[in-house]
Amino acid sequence: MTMVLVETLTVETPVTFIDITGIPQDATDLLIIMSSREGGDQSSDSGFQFTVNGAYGDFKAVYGQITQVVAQTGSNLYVPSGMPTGGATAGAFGNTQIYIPNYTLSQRHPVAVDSVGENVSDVQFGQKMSLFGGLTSSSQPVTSMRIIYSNDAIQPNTTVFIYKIS
Amino acid sequence: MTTPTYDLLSSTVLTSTATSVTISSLPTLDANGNTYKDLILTSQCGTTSSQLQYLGIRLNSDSSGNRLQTFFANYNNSLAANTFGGVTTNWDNASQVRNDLHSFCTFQIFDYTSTNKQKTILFRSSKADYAEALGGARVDATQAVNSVTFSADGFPFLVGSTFRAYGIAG
Repeated sequence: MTMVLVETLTVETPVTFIDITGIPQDATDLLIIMSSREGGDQSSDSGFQFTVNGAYGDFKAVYGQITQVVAQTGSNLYVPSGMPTGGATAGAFGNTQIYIPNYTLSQRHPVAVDSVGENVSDVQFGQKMSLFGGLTSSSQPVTSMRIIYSNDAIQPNTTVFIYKIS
Repeated sequence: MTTPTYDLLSSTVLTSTATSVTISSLPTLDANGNTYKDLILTSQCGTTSSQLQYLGIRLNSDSSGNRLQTFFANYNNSLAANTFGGVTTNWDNASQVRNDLHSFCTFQIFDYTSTNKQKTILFRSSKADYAEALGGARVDATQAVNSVTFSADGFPFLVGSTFRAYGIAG
């Protein structure tokens, strides 16, 4: 078995960020699976950002929401899978996968993020799917990450699963 | 009921440049005798070319050009989508690479040990400073996959390029 669950983090009360620390350095690839929901209004779904070793990176994204498709480029883009609470179906959570290959090497790390969220079909931010990725600013081995919801609190029962692959 | 596995089948880290990398003798059974169902390939690689080149894979050294693939992407901050029939290069092109190690790609080949269905491939690629893409391909051949070859339009892969294969049984 080369895919091993390292840690599970569960949000019990609303928080604005989740820290992943002490990432073990005895594998090749890192996989983060997240089931999340945020506290914002459905008309202003802010999504989330993340840092690696305390820094953002250079990212590109393409995402669809309802009938729109959007391309973006930036250093601290938001991954649009936040699943706003306001008006959303109770108990609905977005899903996100973050993959970092060769994370123990000293290099800027490519990161691939895929996410999907669906809660209300007839509002602007009710349905989203995104491809997101880029290159970390940090060129050190990945030892920590932070998932950040800067505008709206992360809701209880949001879970983050950290896997190492070797 | 068997327990699903995620087994490392092959790992290659280049210590010298190579124009192609082949993962061969892919097994059909895991250590417990369970049949592997899905094949996961990952690559983080670059080439000696300063220009963007396609990273592609070829199954079983099959160069008959019997492929159909489609994708959508953010290419250099513009939306793109396209479909190819009978891809002229005979490769399932998934990602773009050049002279850095910033290109990451995963390929999922479903039911790769089967002998009664054409092979389908889902790929997800990230070229950090250029493109994010999701695509799929169908290979018009029913043979079990026993080898996979990576190439980038014939340009040598850089030292440090990594190629791994994982098998999922269950």
